[in-house]
Amino acid sequence: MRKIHIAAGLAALAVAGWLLPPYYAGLVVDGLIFAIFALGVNLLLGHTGLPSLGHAAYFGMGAYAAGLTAIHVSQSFWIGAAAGIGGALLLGAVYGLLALRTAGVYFLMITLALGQIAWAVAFSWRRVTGGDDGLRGVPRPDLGIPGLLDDRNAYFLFALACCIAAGLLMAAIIRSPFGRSLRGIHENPQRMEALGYRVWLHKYLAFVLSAGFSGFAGVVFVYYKGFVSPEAASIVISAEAMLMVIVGGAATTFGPVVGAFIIITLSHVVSGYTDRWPLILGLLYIAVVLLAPQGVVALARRHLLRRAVR
Amino acid sequence: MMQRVLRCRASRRPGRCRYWWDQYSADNQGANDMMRKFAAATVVAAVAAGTSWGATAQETVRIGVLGPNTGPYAVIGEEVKNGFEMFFAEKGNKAGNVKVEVLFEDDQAKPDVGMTKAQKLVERDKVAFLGGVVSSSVAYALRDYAVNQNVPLVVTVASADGLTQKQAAPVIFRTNSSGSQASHPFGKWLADQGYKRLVMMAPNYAMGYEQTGGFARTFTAAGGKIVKSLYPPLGAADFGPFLTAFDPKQADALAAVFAGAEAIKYVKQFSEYGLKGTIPLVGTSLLTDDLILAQQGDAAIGITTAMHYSSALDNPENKAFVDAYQKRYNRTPTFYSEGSYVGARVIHDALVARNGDTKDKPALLKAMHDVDFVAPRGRFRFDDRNSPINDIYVFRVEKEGGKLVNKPIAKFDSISQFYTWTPEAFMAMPDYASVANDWAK
Amino acid sequence: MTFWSIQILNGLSLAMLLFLLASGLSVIFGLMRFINLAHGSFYLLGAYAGLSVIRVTDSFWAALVLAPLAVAVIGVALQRLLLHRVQSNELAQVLLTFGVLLVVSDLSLWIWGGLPQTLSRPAILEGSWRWGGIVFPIYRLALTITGIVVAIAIWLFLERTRIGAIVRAGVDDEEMVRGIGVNIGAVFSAVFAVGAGLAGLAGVLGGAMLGVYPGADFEVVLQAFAVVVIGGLGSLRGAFIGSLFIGMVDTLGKSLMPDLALFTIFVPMVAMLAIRPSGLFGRA
Repeated sequence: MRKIHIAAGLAALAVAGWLLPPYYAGLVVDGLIFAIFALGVNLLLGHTGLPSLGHAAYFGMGAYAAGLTAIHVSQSFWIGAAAGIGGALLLGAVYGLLALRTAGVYFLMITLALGQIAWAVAFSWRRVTGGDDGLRGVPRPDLGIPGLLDDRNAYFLFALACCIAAGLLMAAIIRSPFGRSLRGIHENPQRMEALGYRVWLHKYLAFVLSAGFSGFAGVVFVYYKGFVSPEAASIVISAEAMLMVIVGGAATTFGPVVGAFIIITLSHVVSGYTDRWPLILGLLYIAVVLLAPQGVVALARRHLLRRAVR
Repeated sequence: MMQRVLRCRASRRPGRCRYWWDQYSADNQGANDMMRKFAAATVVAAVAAGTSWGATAQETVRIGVLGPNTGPYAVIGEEVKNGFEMFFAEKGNKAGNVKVEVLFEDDQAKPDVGMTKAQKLVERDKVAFLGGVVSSSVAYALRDYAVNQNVPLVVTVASADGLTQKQAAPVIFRTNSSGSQASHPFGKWLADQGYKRLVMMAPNYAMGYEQTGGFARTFTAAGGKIVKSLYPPLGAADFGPFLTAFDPKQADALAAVFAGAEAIKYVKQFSEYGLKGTIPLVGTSLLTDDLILAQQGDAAIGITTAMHYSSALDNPENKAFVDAYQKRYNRTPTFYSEGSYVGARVIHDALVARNGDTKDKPALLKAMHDVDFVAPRGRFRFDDRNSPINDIYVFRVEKEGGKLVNKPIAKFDSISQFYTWTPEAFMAMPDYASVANDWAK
Repeated sequence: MTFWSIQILNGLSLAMLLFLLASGLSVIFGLMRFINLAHGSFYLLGAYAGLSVIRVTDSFWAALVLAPLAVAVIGVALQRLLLHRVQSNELAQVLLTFGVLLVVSDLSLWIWGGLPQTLSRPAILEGSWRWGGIVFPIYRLALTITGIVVAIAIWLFLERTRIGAIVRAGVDDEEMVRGIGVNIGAVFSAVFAVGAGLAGLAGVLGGAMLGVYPGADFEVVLQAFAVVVIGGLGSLRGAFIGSLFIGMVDTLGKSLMPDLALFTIFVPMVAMLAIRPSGLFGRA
């Protein structure tokens, strides 16, 4: 895709965000938050080939850390984000040491268990996290001007900016030599090892970075909603993030963003029309895995390529 | 320029083709055109959507009801739906001269889904009232939103104390008893009946702490002693370890509050471990609500609980309510549906008093606050913080005509959420969740 | 003394229920390298199917036979139609079976409603056994004995029959088994059917003890995975020991340290995976 197309698309999105009624702007913000989350999951899943079923732990950590900071310490975005991302990075660093002792299906299981432990902490530690009642009353960041982001459309632009920043950073990581090494490790770890790459270190860094991105998504989430509950760290969220990556396209750069928007839109639209939406969501998981395992972006690319080349 | 060409797709027989006609555009223009058209269309659509969503003329008053329609609490969500639906069906979907439309949304008992649905109801569907809500965490999340948007929220199930205490607001109303409301008089009653030592059990989250904390406070104030308190994790499959973790000879009664599927398991296992007949089981009527009583079977007979409602209350309003509910939904109503039925009535009566005017918010809120009518549970009215002042009954589970019912055996008149304390004194005390482990010291 | 005896009996009965559930999961993984998150769905379907059978025939024993059979059939159908397509891709297996879990969960809600229910037990299994100072439900004793009997039956099958030998060979080295001409596809399907049937049986037995309700599938699937992680994937002995371990740790943990009850399963799981991922007896 040409850069001018992307820029035009983003500009259109910004304009639309300003004009959309607050309810719809809110839905797009949801999409942007999960887009950042999915980008993080993709770094680990799509590029390094490590499927994690517990990534919501970092999302939740980012949200709780930023939320607690905003309530008790400071309404500054930078401090809150630093707390959120920092917390997520720390959790990722600790969890990564444990998780990377395993591979394949065992990696899946240990990340599942670690994710559940994070959820259990959020649920049990009432004094800090509010337990199952959740943490509420998180104020919007003030960015220097009090009340600037109270308006939902204003927050939309802010979330868009965050998402663009995350996307650019992710694109830079993916295109860098580090990113290419990750894909090499995905394909053939033994060969990379033989070539002299420190495979474990690469995996570990990818793990921690991916946790950081997920934590950043949590920060944007808690500032938007004004609250967070242990649900945010649940396995259902982790699975949804994985699905967004798969639907969008696992090995692509921006596939996860597309996937996030597709899933968010579908789940809101569908649940508005029928109570049977878990059924439909489940069928979607099955359909995507069987019919479009490469994801939407890859499908679209192939389709457009076929049309363009002759 | 479009052209057709014969193409070959690989087939199962090696060296053979599955032929098909493919159309393609003979130059690059097509792809770029498509992209540009798509981008333009998106922008136009977004702008159109934005501007066309102006306020539509409103002769119908809409009410947005939230509840879990999926997941483990789906059956309570159904009760909420039924309560609202039945009430307005009886009124011909009108409140005085104004038409009323009730919209139902699934909050999945999750706060952020609840928020999104509430936003949809208020901002897109332009509801004038929000109602229902089963999960306390959803209720807390919605409380801030309702206050910001100045939309009345009538909570009909979620029992978190804080909603009408520290987090009270003029737009927040509650029609169910608060978590500790029924427990306060019950604790004292237990002491008066001669019980001196209690073991307490409840699930390890706010609902459990509040429901049992209420009787712990009044029971100990009346001279009783809490010998042990246990809080099994929410969703415990098996209460065996907990039911056998104390010595029945140490206590005069086991005071437990569980709800739904847990309550069924608990009561049955209470009997299986030989505790039934050895020690009485008491609690609030969440433990033996009308929905689960049939499932619990004879194991439930003799359990004594307290609440503001059971389907066995003997008054004309309740008889009519139970008959109508039975006819319409083929099962007995519970305090979940009664609470929703009453919630619908609060909105209805306020609308009638205001002649359908929802624009003058302070007047509307006052009309809602001032309601005073006879509900299936008895007289219904709000206290200063929009929490109900109810009669609380003590019920005992008995078999009547082959069916298990919660039969009223005692009554306390006009109990509010603060019981005998002043609001200030009550709220100055630490909340039940933080002292949950301190009762048994 | 009474306290410990009862807790041990509690732990044993829970362990046997978990064993019935997890043994299928473990052997399926060992043989087919297939992670089945929908195993919880088999449990749920078994419980609900049992409920329906009891409603129609009023016989618990009929449910005990028919429900697992029904689940086994559904399991094989699922495997042949859907699951074998993602045979080699772990991630796809996880997502696909998660999708199946969601679909079955919602369909069950639709068909049987959201009201928590319990399967009614025959009169001889009701009531309590009293001995010394101990009062213990007869049903749980029966469950424990059933679990042990089934465990012995499966062990005999695997060790003493020809098909059992093929299954064990397949777990050790699938390619070799193909190489000697065995129709491994049929073996897979048969094993899957038995695994699903066992989960269905666990559903009926568990449903009569703990009840059946929306969400039961998610609860048990996590416990089942904890068992196979501890015990080791692919090993029957591992599933048995793992069930005993989780059953005991969970029961004792909950009664002695209720505040930490949510952690009693996941912490051992993480510890085992970090130290010895293949579990106690697993074949990596």
